[in-house]
Amino acid sequence: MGDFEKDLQNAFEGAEFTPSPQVWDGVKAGLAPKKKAGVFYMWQTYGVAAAILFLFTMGFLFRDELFTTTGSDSPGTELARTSETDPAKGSPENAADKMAATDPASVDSLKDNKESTQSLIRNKQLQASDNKTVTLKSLTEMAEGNRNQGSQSAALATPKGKEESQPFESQVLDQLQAATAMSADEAVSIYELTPQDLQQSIAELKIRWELENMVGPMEIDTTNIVANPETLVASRTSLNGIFGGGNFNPNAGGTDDLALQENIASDPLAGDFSVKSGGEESEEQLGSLSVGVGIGFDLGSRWILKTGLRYSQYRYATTSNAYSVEDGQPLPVFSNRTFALSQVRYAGDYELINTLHSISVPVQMGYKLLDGNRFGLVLNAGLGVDYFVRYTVKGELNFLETTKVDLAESQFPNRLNVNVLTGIELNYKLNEKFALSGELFFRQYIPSLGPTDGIATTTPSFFGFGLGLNYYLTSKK
Amino acid sequence: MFQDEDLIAKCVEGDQQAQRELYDRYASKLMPMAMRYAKSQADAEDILQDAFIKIFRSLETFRKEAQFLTWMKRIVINTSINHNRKKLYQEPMLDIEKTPLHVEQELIISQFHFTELLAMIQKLPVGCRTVFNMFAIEGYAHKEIAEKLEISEGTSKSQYSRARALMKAMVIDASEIVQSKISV
Repeated sequence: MGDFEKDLQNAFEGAEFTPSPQVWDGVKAGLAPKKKAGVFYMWQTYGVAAAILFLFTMGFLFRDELFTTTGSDSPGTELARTSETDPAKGSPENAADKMAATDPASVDSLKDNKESTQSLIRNKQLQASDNKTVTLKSLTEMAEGNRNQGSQSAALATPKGKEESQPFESQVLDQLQAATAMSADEAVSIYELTPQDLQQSIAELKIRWELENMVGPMEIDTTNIVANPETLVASRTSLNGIFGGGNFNPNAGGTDDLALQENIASDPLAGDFSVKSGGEESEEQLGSLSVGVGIGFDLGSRWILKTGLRYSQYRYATTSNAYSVEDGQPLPVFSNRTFALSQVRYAGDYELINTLHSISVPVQMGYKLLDGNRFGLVLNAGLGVDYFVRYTVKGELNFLETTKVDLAESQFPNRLNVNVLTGIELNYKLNEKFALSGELFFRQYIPSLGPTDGIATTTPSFFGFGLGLNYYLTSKK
Repeated sequence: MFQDEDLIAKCVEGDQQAQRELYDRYASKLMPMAMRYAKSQADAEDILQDAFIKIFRSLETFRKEAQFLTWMKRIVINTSINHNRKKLYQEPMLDIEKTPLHVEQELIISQFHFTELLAMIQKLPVGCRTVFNMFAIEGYAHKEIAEKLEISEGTSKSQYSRARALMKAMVIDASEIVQSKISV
């Protein structure tokens, strides 16, 4: 070293220069603890989304008057049942005559009324004897017919102070509707009731009938109610397509590669830095995308079995302060891969974008909490298998190359991962064939199947949402 | 007034007042070093800011047998190199070892204030500047510089020669200006 160098060193020896006050402000800001983008952060974000979804749902419900009850008739309502009753009993004319002759003031008249109604039903059974089916619609039509014949018939019996102008059979229909407490819209959904539902409804109606009219049992045979081949759906299969997003939380933990740290510590230029590569505290969830198709099978009236295939792109950010030069290519240093210690170089703190590409097969059971005419609410739970097909890490420094991680050598994630799924799904039926769906779900990977080699135990999770279109393939029995 | 050891202990505990005091005590001493590696004062302040954040975050690992100021200087140098690394990749240093060098005359710089020298150093291209600082002032060998900057030893030497030639030109120019002012 010559005089020139020595003179230079002397010139700078003891030199001082006061930096501007902004430097301290920056240091103070840099030392402030960062807000952790954990599950609570995600809940804040998705809490708002859930609230908006809820408000939209309520809006739809009110628009469809799902919360209002109507007493209007449902002309289309059609209850199907087989009848074993003797079709030879009575005729419409006889029934009308009987009803006309009834004295509304006496207890006998109540019995007569009962008989009239039963006769009325039997008559319709007679009419329907060809296919052994009687419908509520036909009962309605008959009531309408009787109304039209009001001028020819005497006033009908009105038990318990009912209005005299209202035909008795019409009251029966009113009671039918009141007993089932259905709105006009809901009444349409009777198409989808199972025979068991109908039997239960009629049993309730019988009890109400007996209580309100204080007469003997209402004799309607419900034991052989079966699904109407034209209207009732025995089971359904649906296809769906889903597009969604969410936040992937790797919970990957940091790396404390002691050999690497020792190597760095012995580096006179490195100072006493430690490698920051990943680490739970530095993880930040970024938007993730997911698309998929699925199929659902109705198992009874409430349960659905679902499965499908989804492609997901999970993204999250970590921080590093080092990179490695391999074959002349500068690559980011991160926790999930081994680096040649001699090739590790320091850089200022920089961000790493981790992108995981996954194909998953979820298998879930859904329970229909609500299955209305338009809206359905389904609670889902099940298991999923994720197969990670690609993992890339990109450093935000321009000169760094994007690293494609060999998943066979990676500590995180395993190629194959099992996760537990749970979620809630809201469906809005556009028509008999199509429905829109929105879902919120949480996927927790099972840690015991993750890496447990002492480096890090990862318990990744994913909180996501999906918007989809369902297509119902109706299978009829 | 706290001793460095006490101040460090308080800083490790997250005492903001202690951090401020430590910063006030050393920022002006470290700033010229950052300025040598930077192209401007603003750049130097960025480097100093990053360096102090690293210093505070690494205080726990400071080994007391080392001199505190020396330890901090290493961090500033390292931060400066990393700050320039992107530029170093964008403007790769070429091996100009075979370029014939002019016979050197003795460079006398004792007449210059460090701020004048700083201004000259900041005018050097980033590669030259980094190698010049590391070799001439920090005292690294060319082999070490080559490893740290991922260049060949020859490139380090040639870059230093180039830096020295440029510095010489600037020193001569500055000397002539000084002389002309004196003669006037």
